[in-house]
Amino acid sequence: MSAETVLSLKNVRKRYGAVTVTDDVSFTVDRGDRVALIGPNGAGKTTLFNLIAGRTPVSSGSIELNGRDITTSREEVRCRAGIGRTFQHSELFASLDATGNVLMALRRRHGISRSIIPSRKREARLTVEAHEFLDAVGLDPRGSSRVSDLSHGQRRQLEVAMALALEPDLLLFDEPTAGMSGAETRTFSELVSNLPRSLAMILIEHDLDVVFALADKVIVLAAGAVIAEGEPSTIRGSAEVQDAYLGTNLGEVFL
Amino acid sequence: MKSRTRIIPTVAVLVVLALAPLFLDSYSLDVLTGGLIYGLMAMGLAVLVGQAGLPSLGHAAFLGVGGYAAGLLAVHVTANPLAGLLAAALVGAVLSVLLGVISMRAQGIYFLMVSLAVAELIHAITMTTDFTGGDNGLSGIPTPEIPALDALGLPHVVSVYWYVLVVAVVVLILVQLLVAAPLGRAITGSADNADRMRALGYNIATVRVSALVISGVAVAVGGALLTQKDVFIAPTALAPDTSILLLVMVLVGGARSLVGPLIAGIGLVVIRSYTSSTIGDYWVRALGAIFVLTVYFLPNGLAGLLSRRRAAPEPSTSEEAVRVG
Repeated sequence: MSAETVLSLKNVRKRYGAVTVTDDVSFTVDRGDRVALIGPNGAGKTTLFNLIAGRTPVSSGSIELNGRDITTSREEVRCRAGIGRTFQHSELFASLDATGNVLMALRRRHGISRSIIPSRKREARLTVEAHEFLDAVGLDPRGSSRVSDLSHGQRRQLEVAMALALEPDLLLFDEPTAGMSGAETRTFSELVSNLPRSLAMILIEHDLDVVFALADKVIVLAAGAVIAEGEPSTIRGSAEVQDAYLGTNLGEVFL
Repeated sequence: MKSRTRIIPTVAVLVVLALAPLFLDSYSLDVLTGGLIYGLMAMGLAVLVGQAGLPSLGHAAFLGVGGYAAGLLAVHVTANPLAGLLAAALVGAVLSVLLGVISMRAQGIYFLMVSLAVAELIHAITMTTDFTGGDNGLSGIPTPEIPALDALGLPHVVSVYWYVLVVAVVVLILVQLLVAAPLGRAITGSADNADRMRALGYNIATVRVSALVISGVAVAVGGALLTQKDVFIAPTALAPDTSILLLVMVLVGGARSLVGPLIAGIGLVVIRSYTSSTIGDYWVRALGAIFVLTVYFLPNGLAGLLSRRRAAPEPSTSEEAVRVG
């Protein structure tokens, strides 16, 4: 294992009773890697994210983050250790506006989330920082609308802003462009391609244009197991992947 | 800007409250003192119900442990009222942590049941132990010594009133500050979306226990004040009726607010005291009617009524999103 390895999965398995949803998955993600995780519905992509992020415990196998075993760590501990994620279905604070949502992430990252002293000056400073993150994902920072007033695409953008605000080593994007408009998707792709190479990311994505534009490595998951792994060009041409992915010609469906 | 528009009415209310002994007879003043204490406890419970989203039907337990702690301390150690408050706060905090551990994963109705069970347990303990005076209650509590006020040669009921007023205002300010602090934001965030909080690196269990402690300490301090005012406490004070009364005060005042439950607490105690001679046992039914009418016509309580009049367009900047007052 090189010193640059951020995430390492070894024989990760998840069973619910007799059903195996993740079967013997092993791979590593290095600093700067942009990995796309693709596969048909029900392949276990989101489950794998939940195993990595610590929402669901693994049945067997091990997970390391920055060389540290986090297999049994709680979700919040893994987040503090450097994992930031977005959710397939937006998980936001409905009673807050966009800035308030990002502030919740910033207060934790700056280590003041348990402070019992209110400070306007500190909040003002954090608000400026929050606006920078909102700006970066293409949300109008001055728009102080509540989450309930945001469009579906804007909620996805806000999820991304919150994950970025954590300044993680590993970013997990669960279908970030689902429901985004064409323009929003382009903004997102541009944002991701401009992210510093100091962080690693895994992207679950159905839009193969986005996958091939952003990823430098593709992992194909089917029925909980990794069936192919490699550079986008290799995966694109693999008959085996096309077959297993949908049992049909990938090109006809997606490209 | 918002806080500036609030200063004048706040100061006006405080001045009127401070001068109340000048125009109230001693019975009315005693009633108002009780109202302030219940208002303080309702405000403490509101932190849990409105901010942390944990409805409790067991907060009479905190009143009880606070009240007995202050009473026992006064009987056996010192009649210094501040020592009594400190003891109550400490015991309240310990009970809060215990309740937090017991109810770790309980939400909504399940938390309600756990809190009720814990309260009934403590209720039963006070009824059956000799140490607490059993069914008869704890008597022989010395009158609290408030040197600064006693020196003025004031009637006792007046010095107790001023003492309670000062404590209530201090607790209100402290709780307001806590709610506005990052910890308070974390408490409302956990009620709003616990999954997201975990994914942001927050430890939900710690946040929940913090909310329980803030709430439990405030109610325990209220319990101590009640004991010091009445120089008596009995197990009936810990009965489920008291928990229900506190919860109704919170809902009538508006759970997301702190000042609302404070006002509702004062109001309901005053109404109860002045109607007991006429409606007597019908009080509980009247309380039920008040509760139903509030839920029906004022879903956000008195505080909802006030904020609706104050701001027609919904205030929604991040500073105001978590309502403080």
